[in-house]
Amino acid sequence: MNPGVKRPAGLATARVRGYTSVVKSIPPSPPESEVDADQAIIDRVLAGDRDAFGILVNRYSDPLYRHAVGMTGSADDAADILQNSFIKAYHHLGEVRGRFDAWVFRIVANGCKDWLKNIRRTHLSYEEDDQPSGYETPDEELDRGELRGHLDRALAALPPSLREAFVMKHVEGRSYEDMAELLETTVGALKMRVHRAREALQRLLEERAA
Amino acid sequence: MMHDNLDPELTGGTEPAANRDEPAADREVPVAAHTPTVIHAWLDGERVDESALHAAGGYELWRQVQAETDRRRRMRTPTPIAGAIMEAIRKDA
Repeated sequence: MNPGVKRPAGLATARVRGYTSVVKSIPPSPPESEVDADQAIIDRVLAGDRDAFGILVNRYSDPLYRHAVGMTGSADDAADILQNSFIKAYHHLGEVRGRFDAWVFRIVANGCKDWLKNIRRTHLSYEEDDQPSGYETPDEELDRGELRGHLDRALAALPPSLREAFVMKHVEGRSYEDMAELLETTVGALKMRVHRAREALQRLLEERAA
Repeated sequence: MMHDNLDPELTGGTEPAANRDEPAADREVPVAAHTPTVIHAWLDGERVDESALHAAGGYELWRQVQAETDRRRRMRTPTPIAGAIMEAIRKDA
């Protein structure tokens, strides 16, 4: 392998005759057996075994927490959103149809959007006031901590739908197909959102690094 | 020229229902390309030519961003949160 080509961390790299690609390492959706297992737990909870709900919390809290942190940029607010979402899910558990993980994801995603609506009242968005001007920036090495801060600020400047798409694709490592199922939209629309998010992020990051 | 069925209020529009309430800035419209196509393809998991990838503007930036998003992908829910959720549910009951 050409030592100069570094694959994005966490992703397997497939190479064929001088070509390289990143291959998603996270499966798009849980297998049928997992969906059935979730339903069995839901049935137990609805039958009165309240503590069984903890299995679902433990099973799905990590990706949901990552989504909430990615959307809010705040571990404390993400924790609040996650807690409120699971409590809401518990009280409406009888309404689950199909995948529990998709259902509870939508509750968390809506919680994040509500949080953003409130926070945006006092913060200007990328479209409103943060249009970068020049993009003549080299690929210079950014300090890791500095990049982290820049990325947080750049993500916060994106419109919610673009931030959501970028976080799901790159932080949560979801496939476009899984994202389309969770967000109830098309793969094409999501590709467009992710591409727009990348365009905006590259501009913002290069501007900050300049 | 026919103008029938052009009123989205009458036709139901051409967008998915989920998009109709989004602000105009959030809708899926193309923007001027700044990130090279090869970078998008690489980030989307498609096979790309290595030399083209290396030469593309922004490669090093996106390599670093990928390292950072990978770090975030390993983030775990703080242990007390699950306990707090179950405690709240027990109190509610």
